[in-house]
Amino acid sequence: MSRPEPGSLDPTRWLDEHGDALWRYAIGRIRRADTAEELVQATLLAALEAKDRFRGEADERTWLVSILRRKIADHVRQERRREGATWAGPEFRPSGTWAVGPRRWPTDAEAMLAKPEFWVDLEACLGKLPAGVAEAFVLREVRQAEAEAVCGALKISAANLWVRVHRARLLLRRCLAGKWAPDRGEKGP
Amino acid sequence: MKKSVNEAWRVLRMPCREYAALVSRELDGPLPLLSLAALRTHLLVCRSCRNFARQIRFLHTAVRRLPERGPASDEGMPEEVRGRLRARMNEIQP
Repeated sequence: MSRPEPGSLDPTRWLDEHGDALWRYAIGRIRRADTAEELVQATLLAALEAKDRFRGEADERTWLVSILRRKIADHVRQERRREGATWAGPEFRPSGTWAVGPRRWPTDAEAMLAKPEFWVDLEACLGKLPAGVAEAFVLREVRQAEAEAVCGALKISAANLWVRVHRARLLLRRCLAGKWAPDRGEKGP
Repeated sequence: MKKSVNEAWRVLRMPCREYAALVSRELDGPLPLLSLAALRTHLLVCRSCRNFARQIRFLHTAVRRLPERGPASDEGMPEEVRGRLRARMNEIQP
C-alpha cells in the first residue's frame, strides 16, 4: 500500500483507491446503503480537514478506516439512543388502549419491499428480538414450519407458541416503525 | 341467547390490545364470525389499529420472503455512490 507525502493527499483519489474498502467496512457493520454512504462521506470530509496532520505514519487506507471506525461508533451510539426512546415503555396502557398509536408508514408496501434498506432494517430488527421469541418466530413465520413441529422442537405448548409469535410481531412492527415512521402518542378510540 | 348477547357485548367493548391480538390471530387462521365482525367494525373506527393491521399483515408477507434473499453482498462501492461522493468532494475541493 502506498505511503504518499502529506501534500499529495487527494480525496477523489481516495475514492478510487480506497472507496471499495471503506464501503465494505461500512456496509459490513451498518448494513444500510444510505447510512454507509453518509458515513463514508463524513469520513472523507474529516480526512480532508485533517490531512495536514496526516504524517504518513500509518498507510493511507489504515488512516481512513480508523476515521470511518470512529464515525461508525458515533453513529451506532446515536442510533441506540434514538431507538432506546422508541422501544421504551409498553405498547399498551393498562386499560388496553395504545400507549403510542401506530402511525401510517410513508411508503406503500410494494415500494418498501423494493428498498434494500427495508430488508437491512428488517434483519436488524429480527436480530434485536429476545432469543426465545426470535426462535419461535423464525421457525414459524420465516421458515413457515408447521405449528406442531415448532412446538415439538421448542418443547412449548401451542398457546405459548402463539404468545411468542404475537410478541415478535408487535416488537418487529415497532422496531421498523421506529426506523420508518415513529409512532405518535395517540389514544385508541 | 343471553349468553351470545353477553359475548357480543364483551367483544365490542374490547380494548385495542385485544383487537391487535385478533389481527395477529387472523394471520394464523380464520377467526370466529363474531370476532371477525367485531374486528372489521373496530378497524373502521380506529385509525391506530387500522395502521397496525396493515403493517402486521405487510410484515407477515415480507418475512416470508427473507429466505430467498441471500446475505448482504460484499461487493465494492456502487458506481452511483462513488459518483455522488466524487461530485461532493469536487464541490468542496475543486
